[in-house]
Amino acid sequence: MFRLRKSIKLALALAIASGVAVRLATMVTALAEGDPDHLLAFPLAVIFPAILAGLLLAMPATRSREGALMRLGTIIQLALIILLPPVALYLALGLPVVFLVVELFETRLPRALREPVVRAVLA
Amino acid sequence: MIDIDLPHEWLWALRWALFLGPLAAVLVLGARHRHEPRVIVGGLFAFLYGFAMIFATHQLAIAAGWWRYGGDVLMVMGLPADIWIGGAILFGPVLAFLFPTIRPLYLVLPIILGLHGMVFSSLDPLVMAGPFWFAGVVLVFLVAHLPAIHLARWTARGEHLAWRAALLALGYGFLAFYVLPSVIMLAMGGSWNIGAQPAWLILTGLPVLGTCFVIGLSAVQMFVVHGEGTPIPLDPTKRLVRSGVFAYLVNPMQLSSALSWIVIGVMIGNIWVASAAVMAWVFVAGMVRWHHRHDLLQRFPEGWPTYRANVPEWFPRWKPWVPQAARLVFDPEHT
Repeated sequence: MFRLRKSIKLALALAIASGVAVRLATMVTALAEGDPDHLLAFPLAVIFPAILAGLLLAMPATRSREGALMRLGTIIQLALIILLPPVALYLALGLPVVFLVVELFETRLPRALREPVVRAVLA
Repeated sequence: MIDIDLPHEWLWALRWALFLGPLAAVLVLGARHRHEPRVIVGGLFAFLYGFAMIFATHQLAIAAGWWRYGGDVLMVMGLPADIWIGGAILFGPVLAFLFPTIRPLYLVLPIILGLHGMVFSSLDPLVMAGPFWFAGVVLVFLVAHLPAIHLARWTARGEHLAWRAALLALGYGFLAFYVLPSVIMLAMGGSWNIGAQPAWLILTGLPVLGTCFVIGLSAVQMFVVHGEGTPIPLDPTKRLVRSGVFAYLVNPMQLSSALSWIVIGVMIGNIWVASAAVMAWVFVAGMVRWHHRHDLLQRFPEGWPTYRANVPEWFPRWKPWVPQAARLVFDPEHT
């Protein structure tokens, strides 16, 4: 069974929490200036990806190594969606690329490069 | 009908509630059913079907002037994405999880008559009702919500396989060839202005598109008839399907999707929509091969490698691959 290392999980959770905090601050500032757009976008653009990332972080171990790596890639993509609102739509549309990267990483990258990375992120 | 005039702050809160309410509900209800995978998969299918069909029916409603949404935040072709996704969650997995035994029609009728009938025309500027809005609401429920709840229930119970597969194919069709191109054009520019294209292009493109669809639909039919399952790996087939269109190539559905995106892109003159075909390849390389290794290879350790060694992924064989010729026996003693 494969799962993300606790340190990686913590780093991802911190990145997501930071993203949510930044977006929250942006929303409050904009609202104070009379612009409700950030407020209206907040549930879908921030809360939703944060919840999805949280669910992926909380899921049990996977049977395959690729499964765990795909999960990691998706969480990073969700964190980027929260942190980079101008390109969030492009990131969402490009989600399948995450799976391609993982597949290429697992099947094409030399073992000498691949294994240290895997050991660093998976337990 | 109740005629109320809500302040803006209330409408903002309502918009939050229309998304976060269903999301919270599905999380809580999903956790309750976490040890029932078929129930969860049914909920997911209901969401995906509703997601596609709500968009399609709302586009029809907006085009017909039955209603339109105000504001310009998170809009996809005039439809607020948060309300759209919230609706797909509420009128799919949430109702299916909450009321697993009540007939879907009895579930949605009070909502149509009660909720929509009373307050729909009072939500200006969130949504502005036009003439015939009630007929539009009924259409959305008949085409999007009612089948979504049925799909969740049938999947959970493992019944009505043919209907399930048909709804999944319909939902996928609208999702892949209407919702996705619309979102791509939102990001990259372009519109569904088919009227501006030359008539010959449309008249040539439509039969070609139909042919592409037939490849995909034939694959779905094979999964149902020969595999006794759906094309979605979460609701898989019981047998390895190697006949019909699968005797020519491994990924007929992905080929069908890729070709359809190219044809649609050419028909509407949008290179970005045509480029979605690349995404089909990315999907196969990244996800489908992984599924083949970790699911099909495990479940069919003998049949799958032989099939895969003889049948190509993308470019069809000229002749079908038949592992074992059928033997027809005529026994006059037992006629």
